[in-house]
Amino acid sequence: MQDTRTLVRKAQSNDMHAFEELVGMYQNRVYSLCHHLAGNRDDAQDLAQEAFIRAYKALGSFRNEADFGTWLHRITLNVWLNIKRKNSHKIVSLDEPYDSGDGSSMQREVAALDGDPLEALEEKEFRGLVRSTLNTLSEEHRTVLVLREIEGYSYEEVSRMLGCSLGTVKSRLSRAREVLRREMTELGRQANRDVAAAREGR
Amino acid sequence: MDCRTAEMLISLQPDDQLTIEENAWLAVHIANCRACASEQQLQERLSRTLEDIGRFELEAPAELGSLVMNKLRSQRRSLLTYIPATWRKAMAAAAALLLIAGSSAGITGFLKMAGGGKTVGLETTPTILSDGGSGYMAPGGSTGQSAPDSAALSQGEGISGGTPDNEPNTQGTEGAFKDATPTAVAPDKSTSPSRIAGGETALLSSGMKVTSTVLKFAVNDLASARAKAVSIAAGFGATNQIFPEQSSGRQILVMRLTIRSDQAPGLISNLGQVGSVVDRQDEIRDLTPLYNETLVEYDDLLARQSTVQDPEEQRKLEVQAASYKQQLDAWAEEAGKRVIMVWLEGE
Repeated sequence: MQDTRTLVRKAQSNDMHAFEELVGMYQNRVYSLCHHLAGNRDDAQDLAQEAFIRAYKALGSFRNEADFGTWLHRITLNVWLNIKRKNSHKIVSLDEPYDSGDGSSMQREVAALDGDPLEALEEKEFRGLVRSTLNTLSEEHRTVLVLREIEGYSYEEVSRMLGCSLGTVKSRLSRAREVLRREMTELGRQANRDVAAAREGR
Repeated sequence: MDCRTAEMLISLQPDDQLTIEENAWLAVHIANCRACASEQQLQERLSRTLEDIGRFELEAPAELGSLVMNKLRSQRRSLLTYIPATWRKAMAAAAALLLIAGSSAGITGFLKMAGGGKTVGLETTPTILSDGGSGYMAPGGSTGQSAPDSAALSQGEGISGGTPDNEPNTQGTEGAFKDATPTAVAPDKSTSPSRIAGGETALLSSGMKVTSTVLKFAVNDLASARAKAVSIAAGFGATNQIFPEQSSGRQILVMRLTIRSDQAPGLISNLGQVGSVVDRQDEIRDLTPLYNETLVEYDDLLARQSTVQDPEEQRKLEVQAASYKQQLDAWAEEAGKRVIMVWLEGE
């Protein structure tokens, strides 16, 4: 198998077979990100397909000293963000301090006094709940969590990929974690209520 | 500091973003606050879980690679179909053909606009013409005829209802922008590619001819010429695909415009604002054999799909069939419209 640099150079000279080989090498990595962002297989496949096509068309702009996988991820992210922007009528920045309007801090304390609703969940259930909750988050929060927590990109890399400052990444990530915890707790509490209701109904 | 502050610090802790003092304060707070202790545990568990999720790559669907490559190749075929033979030769000479064929459709964001080169505009206008109900044309039949000048086109056999464009040439480009090609004749319902109940494509019962007009433009500033052409095309409601410029000694940009036939003359006339015309060529191509050949192959793929047992093989056939269908649909979609390709070359 040829190395990535050689394949990229060939693909840049319109060698379709070289690009095909690159697709084979990176499809799992791209698809994984797509799945984390889109939250389901069908959308993930469409997103990955579009990302590779965009990548092919943009090959001329790729400089071979960069990491090809990261470059593909960046394109994937751009495709994803464009799709989301097209589909949303109003873009609301979520970098502002979160105001739940219902005293979220107090709510959290009350919930905690009831016992941790997530504590009893097995790892597999917990992981499933995390995935579900991620899908309910805003595009901004989900994206930053996926890039930092799941894909393991540094603050600097996330900043470059999203085209925003380090400070924005930091604050957005902090808010995203808070919202994720809040949503997880709420979902866990809801699940416990459902279980209790089912028992009473027996 | 309070629980709200603690909550913020807990969110920053996974990245080791806290100072020694903040860490110390948080530890004291958590020791005395069940809610925040619980919150911290949840954050730690979440971070571990998210990291675990990212540790394993998901396996991409087996057909992903094929879908990508089929789509890219389909776009390449689609472009080549409408480039007249003489131009294909010219493009090859410029070492541009492959780059253009494999490059972007409708993706303008990736264009690198350099001002130095030469620009040529190429415009191709397919026109669907009735050929008098000659019936189904078998693969391998007429492959199209070249019509080097517009006069020939206007007298072309089988062209009915064609009228020369009498719109004034507002940019003084004289004949070059006067669309003397016949106005597209809407395809006869009985002879055009049609959809049958199951969504399959029926065989053509008559010819599907495409009239192309090729215009070369030489411009000083490729970027502004492109912007002007895009603007003009948009004003006429044309669908626009832009292919990145090439750099084999010259800066070239190719635009592929699809427009309603009745709008084409006006568009061609206005495109004269883009630059000076270097050359113009007109061509009639009969896509019927190509269309029908592809259709036969597509039907064959569908038939094979129903007999193949191996899931992997079946998936491959599905992907291949999807690619064929995409191409057939693209041709059918363009029936009755005109495809204009603009070739710009910087001087």
